Amino acid sequence: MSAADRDAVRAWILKTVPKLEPAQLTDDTKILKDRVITSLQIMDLILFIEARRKGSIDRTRMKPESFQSIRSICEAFFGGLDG
Amino acid sequence: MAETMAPRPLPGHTWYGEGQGAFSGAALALMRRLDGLFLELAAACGAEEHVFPPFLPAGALNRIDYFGSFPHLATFPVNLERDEANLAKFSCAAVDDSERVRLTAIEAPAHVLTPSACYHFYRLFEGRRFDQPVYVTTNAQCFRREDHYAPLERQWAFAMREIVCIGLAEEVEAFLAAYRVRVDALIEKIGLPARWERATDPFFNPGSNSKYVMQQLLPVKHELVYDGRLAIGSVNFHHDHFGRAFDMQRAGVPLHSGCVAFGVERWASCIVQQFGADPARWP
Repeated sequence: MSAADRDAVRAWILKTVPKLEPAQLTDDTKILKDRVITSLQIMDLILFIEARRKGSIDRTRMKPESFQSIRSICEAFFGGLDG
Repeated sequence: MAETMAPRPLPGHTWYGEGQGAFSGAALALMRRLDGLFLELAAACGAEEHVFPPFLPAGALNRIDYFGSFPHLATFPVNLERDEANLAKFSCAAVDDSERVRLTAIEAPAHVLTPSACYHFYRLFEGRRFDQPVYVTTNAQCFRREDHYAPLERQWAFAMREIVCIGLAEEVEAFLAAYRVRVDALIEKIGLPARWERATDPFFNPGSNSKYVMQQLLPVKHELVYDGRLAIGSVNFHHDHFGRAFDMQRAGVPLHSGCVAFGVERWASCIVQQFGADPARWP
């Protein structure tokens, strides 16, 4: 299940950022710090995560570390890559 | 409009109770002295000083979605339509018993009173091509509509000194890091209990504003908070937000920007809260 979540998050990023080469995107790519995801796309990413996990995320209490990479998103919202 | 009083008034400051006040005597001298300290800080990076008018074009702020993010803060200069009939109608009953202006037909405002000092630089440098980082500074009268005001600490009109760097990302990050150290040295020298805290800008409807969400997830703003309650300054990393919106580039790449901001009245309030009302005891 976690691999499916990771693949889904990865597929969403590649679809949203078409100029990004798949080889450039690893589980640890800093998607916010390196500006892979812009402020215009961050809300869509949150909506995607909410839809996939079937639960809302409080927009005013989010932790920066949760959204830094595919790995951190999976750990924060989908039980991690290995779990 | 609710009013709250500052714990200790500043001698020479006359509060008008409408979000603004007058400075005389010791208060005026303190404001000038504080701004002189900030100018000394600006000189450390060779920042060139500029002076700007009070209005910014609404179109320029619209390009950075100012009205989507901060509609509650905006103040507009409003003009009557200039046809004679309209002016005559207005002149007959311009102000009512509650001392409110009874506007007749008005022109759609095309300007905004400056909400942040650094916006003037992005307008000034629009379309420019640079070959090295730019360091600039200004002290602008800023205007932010609030739901309540307090003398020196929350004003509709207030003085903001900013030091700005426009350059490559690493140049701006180095600038901001250096200024945190310089500001730390200043507050230690003055003897103000203040520390840096992560912060976000006061967005309208923040939960549904993508820029607010981004600021939460990728911290770009730190405020210098006095006594655990009052932000007296901030350092802000804008990434290439303004570089893209105002087409500022180096070698074909949109430039990054960052600023260090000081709320001069708030610093004056800190001095009087910390050291008392007697100017002889001020540092």
